[in-house]
Amino acid sequence: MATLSPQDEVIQNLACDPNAVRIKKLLIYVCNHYWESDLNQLHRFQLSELIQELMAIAPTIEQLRFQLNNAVQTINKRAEYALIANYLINTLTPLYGWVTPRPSVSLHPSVYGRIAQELLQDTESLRIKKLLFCACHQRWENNVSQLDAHTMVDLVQELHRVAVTPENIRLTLEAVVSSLNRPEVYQSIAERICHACRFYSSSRTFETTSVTAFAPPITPDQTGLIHSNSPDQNTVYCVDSHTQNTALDGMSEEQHFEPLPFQSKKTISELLINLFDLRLEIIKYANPLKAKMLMYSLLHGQPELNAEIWSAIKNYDLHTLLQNLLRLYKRFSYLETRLAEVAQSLPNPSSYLQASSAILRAIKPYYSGNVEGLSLDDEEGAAQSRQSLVDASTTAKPTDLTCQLSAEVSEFTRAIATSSNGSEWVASSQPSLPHPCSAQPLSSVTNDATLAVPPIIPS
Amino acid sequence: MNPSEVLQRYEMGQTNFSGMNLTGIDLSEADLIGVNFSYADLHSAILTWTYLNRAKFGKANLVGAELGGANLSQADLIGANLSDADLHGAILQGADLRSADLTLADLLDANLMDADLRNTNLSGANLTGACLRGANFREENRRYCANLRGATLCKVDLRGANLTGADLAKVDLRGANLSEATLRGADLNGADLSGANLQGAFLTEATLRTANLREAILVNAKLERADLTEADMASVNLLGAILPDVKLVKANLCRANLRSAQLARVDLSRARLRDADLQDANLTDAYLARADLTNANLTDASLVRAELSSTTLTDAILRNATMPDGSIHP
Repeated sequence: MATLSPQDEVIQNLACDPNAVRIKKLLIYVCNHYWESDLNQLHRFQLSELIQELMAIAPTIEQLRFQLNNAVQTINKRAEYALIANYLINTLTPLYGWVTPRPSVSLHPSVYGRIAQELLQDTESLRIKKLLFCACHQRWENNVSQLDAHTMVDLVQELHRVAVTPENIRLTLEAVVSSLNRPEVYQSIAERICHACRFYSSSRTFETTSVTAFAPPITPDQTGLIHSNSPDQNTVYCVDSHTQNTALDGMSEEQHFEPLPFQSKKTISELLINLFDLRLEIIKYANPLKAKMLMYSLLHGQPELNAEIWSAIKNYDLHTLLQNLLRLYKRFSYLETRLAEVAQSLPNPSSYLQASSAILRAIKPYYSGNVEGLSLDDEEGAAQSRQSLVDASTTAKPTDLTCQLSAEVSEFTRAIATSSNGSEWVASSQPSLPHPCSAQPLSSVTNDATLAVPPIIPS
Repeated sequence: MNPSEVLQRYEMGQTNFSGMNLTGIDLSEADLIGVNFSYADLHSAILTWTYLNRAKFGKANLVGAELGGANLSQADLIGANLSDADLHGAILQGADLRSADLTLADLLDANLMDADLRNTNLSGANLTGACLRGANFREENRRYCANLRGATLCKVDLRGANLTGADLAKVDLRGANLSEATLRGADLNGADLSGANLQGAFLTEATLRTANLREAILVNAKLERADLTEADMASVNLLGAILPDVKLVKANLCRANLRSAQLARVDLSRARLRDADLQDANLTDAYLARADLTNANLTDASLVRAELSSTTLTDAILRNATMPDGSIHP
């Protein structure tokens, strides 16, 4: 039986991977600098050629990491593609002659056992497993028997291979959580995992050298995203017209990938600028403390309003809560439903419903693109990306698009992005908020938006 | 007087409780709109979520009172003692707080829009996330301003506020919104303004020695004759800012955006300007003794009569720059 060369083996693995389509898309994007979504076109590319090309572009593992990192940063679905990029780096590492070997995870097995034990004792151990599984395998698994095939210890160990340091683990899990349709639930799950992984940092057996040698995971939240001093980068809005053919299917219950409404991480000043105006709109019509309680309950589960919670809420400012809420909720309709549910569950629901409506009224324009926009059409390099997206959007049925464009791609993004050059800040900082009644119905916005040309975000 | 008595009387139309001893009274969530508590002793009273719109608290004692989420919009709090009071998320929109004592009060996320804060003592108060747009801090033609010494003003919204001559030394203003605010002659020595938005702010003759301005936005800000000696201004955005005669001695301006900035006669001695963007900047008569301009971009900049004899210009881009002798760099 002929043995496969390491490269063929890697290619075969990639080709069989449930995320093969996304892998190919990312490779094409890195090698050819445009986003290909047409399945027929994708088939024309050979994985082996793409890998060769990628290795020519990135002759070292550091360059590979750099190339993929850069590419992921310009994609709107960073969370999903960050995982793909991580997977690619790990898979391609052997082809680079083990220049940067996987860490010989030198932790004593008891450390993994201890972590797994702690996680198994958790009442949410199933969700913990689901999240771990997704972080390790880049797909969501709801099938309990499938999950049972993996022990908690294996998953913990596997996660440690994917993300070595506690910080990397946190970032990797954050990337997954931000792509889920129930982020508020899984955020606390991620926190539990991170908490359990505290044993890594205390473990003396761990070789720090392997941490530095090993590729850090690319996450949507790492610094350097669409940085203001890299004007050539444009966010590419990728249209996954056939995601249902991939392993990302079947995750309707828990996972639902949506476009990122705004950059995951901007410099602090850029993000804060626009939040001031949004915050102002909220407190004009709602009690700030009610708004905080509501957001806190939404983000941290519904607490009993005792003295402990009272002081816990004091640890957060409205700004941060709002920021977290906008990061986690990418779909306005879902936010609307959840806020109403939470308001109903709190004591004196009518006052919280009033606060909820004020929050939603203030936020809605940022989701639905009703805020006076800024023309970004003359951005360099946008034309090519836009054209490829137009092609993709016209060839795909609107219902096929897992990534709905524009409608829920927040205007906020544009405001934030534009603020980086400073000069246009004033215009974006004073959004003319439309009367709620004049706002376009969300459903129609969504439908229109699926075929709309996405905004290209300047960096 | 116990809470039910107060509520009963209020229900019956009696709104005047001035001068009464109501220490520690629990009136949380009650509707007491327009009530008169002037000169009342409400020390440690529990007024959480209470509707106190247009209530009168003139000279009342509210030391340590719990007013979290209370609605005090347009309330009269002139000369009230609110030191150590909890006003977390309270609504104080349009409230009259003249000469009120808010020392060490917790005003986290409070709404103080259009509040009158003339001669108010806010020293040591926590104003994190508070909204102070349209708030009035100072008497016209008077030197003094509201006392903000030692206050926490992180992420505070002070857009357009008039803080002329304010004492903001060492104040925490991280991520604050000070756009279009007037800070003429303000004392901001040692203040933390990292990530703050000072776009279009007026900082003429303000002192900002050793202040932290990392990543702050000062686009089109006016800083004539300001003192920024040893300020940390790494990655600051000073696009189009007006800075003539500013002192930037030993300032850290690495990676700063100084495009089209007006820097005539500026003192940049020993300043660090590595990787700074100075395209189209006006540095006429600037003093750059021992300044480090390594890798800085000075394309189209004017360096007429600038002192460059000891300036490090390694790898600096000088394309089309007007050099000290008036010649154009190729």
